[in-house]
Amino acid sequence: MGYKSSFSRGINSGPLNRYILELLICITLSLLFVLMSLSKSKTVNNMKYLIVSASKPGLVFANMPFQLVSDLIQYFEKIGNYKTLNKSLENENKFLKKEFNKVNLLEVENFRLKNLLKLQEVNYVEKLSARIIIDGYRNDDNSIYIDIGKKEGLKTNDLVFNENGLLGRVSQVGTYSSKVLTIYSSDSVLPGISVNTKHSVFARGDGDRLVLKHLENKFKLEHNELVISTDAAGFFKEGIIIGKIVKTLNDVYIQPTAKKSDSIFVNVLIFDFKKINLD
Amino acid sequence: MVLSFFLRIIPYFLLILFIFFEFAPGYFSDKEIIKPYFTFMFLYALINNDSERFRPLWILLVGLFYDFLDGEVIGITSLFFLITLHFLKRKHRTIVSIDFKIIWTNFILILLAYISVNKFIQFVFFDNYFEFKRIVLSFFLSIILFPLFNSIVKKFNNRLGYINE
Repeated sequence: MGYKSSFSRGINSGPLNRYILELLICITLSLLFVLMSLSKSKTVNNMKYLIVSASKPGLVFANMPFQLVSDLIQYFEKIGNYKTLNKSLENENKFLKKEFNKVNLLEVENFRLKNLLKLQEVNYVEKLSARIIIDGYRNDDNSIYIDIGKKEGLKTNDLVFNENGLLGRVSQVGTYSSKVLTIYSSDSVLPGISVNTKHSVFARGDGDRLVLKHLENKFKLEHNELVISTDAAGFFKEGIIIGKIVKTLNDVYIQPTAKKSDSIFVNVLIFDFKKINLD
Repeated sequence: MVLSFFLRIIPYFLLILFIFFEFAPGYFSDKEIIKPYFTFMFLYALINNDSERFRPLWILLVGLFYDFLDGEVIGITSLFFLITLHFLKRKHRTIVSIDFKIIWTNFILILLAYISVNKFIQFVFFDNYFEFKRIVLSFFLSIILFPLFNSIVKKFNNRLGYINE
């Protein structure tokens, strides 16, 4: 290490020179922001969601290389076993054609029954599509941010899901963006029901799995059976897949079917409680 | 003149880009990738190599922007970097050249202190639990990648100084 002479140190030694003044003002402002965020100030919260929304173009741009590499990997994975994939898709196609015919019959039957009972269609649930703009990778509450908010009618507790199942619920709403608490978070507790054994369960997030709460004998559940959401407590929409039961020698837990890495796009169910009350 | 201007704004541009990279969702196939503390590494390397260029106001703005995207405690990153800037400035006034091992050790200690304070505040005031595995992986990845970042920034600064002269 080499040391400079003390001469240069003496030039800017005034206690209120420009740099020190700027530094002090900036430190004070930082501290002010820290205190405001600790007191959960609404101003800071609104600023946060405005900045998140305004950053969307930059975040989408930064996501492009990841998306490109991910698409390439998936493409090569599919190319590698295209014969097996083709066979399974053909089988799935046959199965779905049969199911589709059944659904057509059921729809006609449902329409007739509704007419008999004089039931009216109610659309108190609306489905919106959104894009994940921020993945709080190191955030402790396993949260993500999506690009829709109050402006689109989003409210706290609206459900977020993708093609594979339930992903989480809206925990904070900004004007143009919102925060989603994923089901993996330890703060998330979901009411559900097992499809085969018909046991009501509560599933709490625990890393990459969901642990079962308030169930006396977990081992009554079947391995690999589906767990779907119920509308217990009035917050949730019933029938959305949460995950599959996994039974080991000494534990039973739920392996969620939906992951935030499945797709950059998600769906949100928006409830209009006023319409529910009216009907 | 134009080239000099572009070279001057490149670090700020890269800094913003790194912030976006850190928070943009990144998955390879269906696996989540481990991201190091890009912004922290780059900003520390910039301040360390040319502490005179970075005004506290820039640090405040960059730090606040980072925190607004990051999570709950707004202002903590700028506070950390403002204090770091001041100490590094003082050090650079008295010491002409610093051994890289010392720079690296300082970086590790400051990053460790930053993560600890940030997570502690989140734990106490927001009841958030630790994603310990991810944080540790990101931390070690940042330590490994810092020499690379630092040498790139150093070379860039030398080139910029050469062009300015």
